[in-house]
Amino acid sequence: MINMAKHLRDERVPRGEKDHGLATTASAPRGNVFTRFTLRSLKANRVRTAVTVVGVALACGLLMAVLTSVTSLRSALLERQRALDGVWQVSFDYTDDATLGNLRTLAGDHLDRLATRRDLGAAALSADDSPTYGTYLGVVSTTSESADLPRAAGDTSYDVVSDPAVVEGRLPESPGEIALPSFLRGAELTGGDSSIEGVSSGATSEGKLELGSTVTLSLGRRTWLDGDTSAISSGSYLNIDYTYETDAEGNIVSESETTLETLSDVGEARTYTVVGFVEPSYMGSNVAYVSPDEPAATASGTETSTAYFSTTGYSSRDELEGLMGSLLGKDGSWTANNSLLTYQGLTPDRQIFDSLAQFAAVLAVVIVVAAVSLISNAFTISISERTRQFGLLSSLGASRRQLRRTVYTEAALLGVVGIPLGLAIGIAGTAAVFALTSEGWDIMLGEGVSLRLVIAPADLAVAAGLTALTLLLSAFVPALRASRVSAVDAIRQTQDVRPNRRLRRVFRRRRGAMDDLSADGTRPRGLAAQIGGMPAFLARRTLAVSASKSRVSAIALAVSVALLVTAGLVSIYITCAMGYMDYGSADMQMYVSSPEPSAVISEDPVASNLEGITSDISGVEGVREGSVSGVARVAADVHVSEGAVSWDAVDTFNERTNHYGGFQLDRQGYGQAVIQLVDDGTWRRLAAHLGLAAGEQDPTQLSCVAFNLLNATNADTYGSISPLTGTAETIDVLVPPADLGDYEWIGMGDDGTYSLRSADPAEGGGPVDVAPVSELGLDTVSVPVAAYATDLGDDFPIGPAQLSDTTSITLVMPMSAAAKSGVADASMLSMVEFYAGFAEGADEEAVVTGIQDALGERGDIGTASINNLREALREYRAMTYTVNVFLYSFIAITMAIAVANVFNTIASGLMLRTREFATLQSVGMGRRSFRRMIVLECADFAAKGLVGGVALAMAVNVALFSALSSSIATISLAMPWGHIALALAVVVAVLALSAGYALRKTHALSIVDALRSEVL
Amino acid sequence: MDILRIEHLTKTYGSGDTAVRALDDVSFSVGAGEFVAIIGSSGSGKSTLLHMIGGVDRPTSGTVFLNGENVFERTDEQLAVFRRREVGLVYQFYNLVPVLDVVENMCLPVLMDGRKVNERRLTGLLRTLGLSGREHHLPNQLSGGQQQRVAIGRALMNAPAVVLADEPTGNLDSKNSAEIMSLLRKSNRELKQTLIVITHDEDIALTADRVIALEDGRVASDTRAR
Repeated sequence: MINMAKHLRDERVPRGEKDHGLATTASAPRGNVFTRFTLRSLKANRVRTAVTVVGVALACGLLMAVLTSVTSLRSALLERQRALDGVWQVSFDYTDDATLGNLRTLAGDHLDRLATRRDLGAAALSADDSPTYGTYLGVVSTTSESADLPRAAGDTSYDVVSDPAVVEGRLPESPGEIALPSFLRGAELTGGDSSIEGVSSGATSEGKLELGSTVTLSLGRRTWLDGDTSAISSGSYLNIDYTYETDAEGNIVSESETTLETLSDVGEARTYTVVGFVEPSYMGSNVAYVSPDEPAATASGTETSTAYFSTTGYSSRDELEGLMGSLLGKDGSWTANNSLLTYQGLTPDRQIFDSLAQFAAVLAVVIVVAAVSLISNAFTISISERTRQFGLLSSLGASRRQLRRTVYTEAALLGVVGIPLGLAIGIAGTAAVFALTSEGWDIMLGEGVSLRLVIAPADLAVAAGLTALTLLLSAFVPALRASRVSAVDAIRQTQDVRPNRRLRRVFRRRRGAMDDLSADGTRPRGLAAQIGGMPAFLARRTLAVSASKSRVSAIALAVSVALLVTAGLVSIYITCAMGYMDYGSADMQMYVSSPEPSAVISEDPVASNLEGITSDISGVEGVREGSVSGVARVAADVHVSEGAVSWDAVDTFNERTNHYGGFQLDRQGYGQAVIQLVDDGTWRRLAAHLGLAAGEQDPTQLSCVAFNLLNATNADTYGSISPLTGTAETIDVLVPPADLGDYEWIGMGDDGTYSLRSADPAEGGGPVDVAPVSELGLDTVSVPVAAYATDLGDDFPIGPAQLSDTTSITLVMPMSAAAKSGVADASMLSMVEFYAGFAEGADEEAVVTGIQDALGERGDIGTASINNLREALREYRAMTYTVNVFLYSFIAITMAIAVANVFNTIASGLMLRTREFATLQSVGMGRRSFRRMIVLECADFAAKGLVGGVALAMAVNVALFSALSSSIATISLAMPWGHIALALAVVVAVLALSAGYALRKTHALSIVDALRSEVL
Repeated sequence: MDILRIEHLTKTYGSGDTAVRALDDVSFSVGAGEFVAIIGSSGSGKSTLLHMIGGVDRPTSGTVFLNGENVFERTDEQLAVFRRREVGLVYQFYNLVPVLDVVENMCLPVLMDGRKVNERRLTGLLRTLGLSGREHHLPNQLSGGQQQRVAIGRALMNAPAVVLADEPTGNLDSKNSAEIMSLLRKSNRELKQTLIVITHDEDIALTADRVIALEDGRVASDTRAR
């Protein structure tokens, strides 16, 4: 601005205004008298001009940031899709190579890349193998791409169709080689009949399949039994017809499956060498891959091939449809790579944009609304401040058009500075946010794809254009008003306070002179004056008159307060969801299943070997010493003495939650317990943590610890209860009757008594209570309770959040003692888990592999799946962080826009009233009263913004909570007090700043000057 | 008896080379019930003088005694009280509070003081000022003359020691001007209201009891009529 002013002074020769429209004024201070007039007034109001320019720049920057983020994300998603599936847009099956020739002719220059895949046929697996490995093994070739096409789309770093991911070995490169699906690793394929009628097995191996071994396959074509000649893809699922019948109550009484296909044209058996194992791909899971040069293998030699191609120069899916229509005929079947087409913007039904673009659109609308309100506010104020100037100019012969143009010039000047600044801010900001969050994006996108900043010219144009439009719209009304200012009106009065409807109505009811005053005549009438005296009365009156003017800003303030508070909520809920990932100190969680699972611990090879497996895992290099735990989770029926139960707590629990029929304990103390049977080491660490006596620390001594915390949270209340009370004594574990019938079990009865229950279908119907457990005369094992605990220590692998999320009593017991005492036999095994931690600096992947190998070497384990919890937590944190960075960046900028808006409104509103303030002081209003009046006005504004904003946020809160509470059990309705306090602080600060600035400016003029000020 | 005594009043704006002496050692007294016109060319210090008397500006040196009390010995807060009790100000540009109606504007000094509004005085003033029936109009619903009458009402409402008017008719046509001046004179005669009016208008000056002419911040002449 200072520069411009200098130029202004250099400008000597006034020019005619004729050819100086909006376009030229933007570029130079050589403008006419109106332009100079505008420049001067912008300069005179330096702070407001700066605030407005910043507002314009922020709005433009935010728009640019949103657009750039969406464009970049779309590009990353496109890249991800290419990496996942390849660049093909359309695929179709063909049997005659002439079809490919037709495609080339029809598509012409549009055809960019083309690859083909042969479907060699399927081999039937033996009836013994098919339950485990599937009915068929399909064999297809890897794809081969035609090299003679343009390949000009710039996507040659990706395949036309992605090859399947190789787990071990490599893909086949020459005839006779084969890559099998990974689930066949270690399998032995046997001969015999297949599960397809009349077809014998065509897939055999010598010994277990591994790299270098051979597999013998007889390939045929899968054909429909009903004579339909269309091809069945060799890797697809078996086509069956499933029918079932139900009775009146909807229970299935009979079901049947009919296979709809068979294998024909089976060729001679051929032997292939296994060179690799691959992961299942979209071709199907039961698919093996051979090289493209593999000779045909069916008896007749006929086979189906699939072509995949991509194009350039088409602008919509319709054009691709047209091409395929002319190639294959109207009824020809083909497949479009819809995800890719969506990211390329070729499909009209942009599913992804349901979320992505809608999100961007909502943000853009919020930004534009905030920006329009900010800018038009600034204009309105700027224009009304200059009403007298406009009147004067008009009286001096300025035409309406010239006056309007003055306003548009101002808009153009603000735009010329603000828009490029905004574009730069937007791009720089997005780049910064991307850089900060790259780790989170890498995880979320996967496939080695990173989020890169993509600056699209279209985005630049849209952001700049939308901001310019916003400016123009904001300038329109003030411009109209400026051109309508009558010379006389403008000069007569600086201010234009018209009584609004409410005020008119109030005044209309007042008749006599004393009606304006309170009954005793010492106060103005009304509550405000009664409570707060003259300052409150004046503040109230001003607010009433200017309500509509300040409403926009109050709303803007409320919206940004709501955004800030909602951000708090979102991060709280994200943290809640994260709290659910609570595994104590464990870094790895392992689910280990038995090859022959049993509900009886002694018969389950894994559960009965808890100690051995735990010690094997401990032996793996990189596992932190003393960090390994084995936990077998069982359910048992128990009896607790009535005095040991806090019935009030149980009632509270039952009132608040009604999960699965409430707390599983009847009034006599009979009920169910979840028992966590742990290995010796874990028991010792737990006992040491709880400070138990030496005898109780011995895992061979029968003892238990009751975890005495139960999550009792519902939509209204957050909390937990402790079901057990008093001093810990003993709990009886009931040995279930040996003669329990097929349809009998022990559970909570309808009358609230823990009972033997029965639901014999022969007796037709629902469960009935046979007898209370107390009357069954069951044998019991009395288990001493060493302690009640609500905290099992960091070394216990399962966190309290998980343990407390139950409806039964929870006990922890040493497996060694339980197995000897008979408790183990009295309970039902549901799950065996192991936990372990990483040693400091351990290579996590190597540790996981090491444990896998160690478990594999045991030979008595079915499958083991290892979750790297630390990795999961890291990823989760990275993603949470990414979401938070985006959230807070957006909030911060929206907040800044709102702050600029409020500043402009408050400061200018106060400055416009300079004369009014001087008048009030000259008739005897003291400084203190004056300050009180201003503070009250600001407080009203703050209250509106805060209350509205917090109310809005609470509405969002309730919606968020009800959406999330069903999926996240540990969530509780939260109030983001910190963020509300922050919003309060921001609001108070901005109001104080604005009022302070305005008052300093008005105080700078003495009352005398203010009274005389003509603002000219 | 002198209600107002001004002694060696000097006001300087700015400092150094650019210093402007708006008032230069001005001294005079005004008796109770006197109607004084202050005339002088633009920049002669008329308005400055009026603002000093009215307690809205502080002098560089010198004193103003109103009712025997030194005006500028008061703190800012006390000065505010002084303004609402002891003086009534009338300006060329009315300076009404735009959000308050006629009655509220007129009662502002009384209400500011937390005292009871004298109903008889209020209705009397409204009638005298020709504002009956316009009690609940906002300033922008009134003509210039009416607005100035409200301003006069505000100045008189508290029965101040002195009413100070700064070119009260400067913004009005001759008919309204005459009306305003006759109102001011009426208050002077009937209520024995001390009145100091700044004016350019010779005709107005001639109707005053006394005319003080200022020139370059000094009293050039002090003439009593007849």
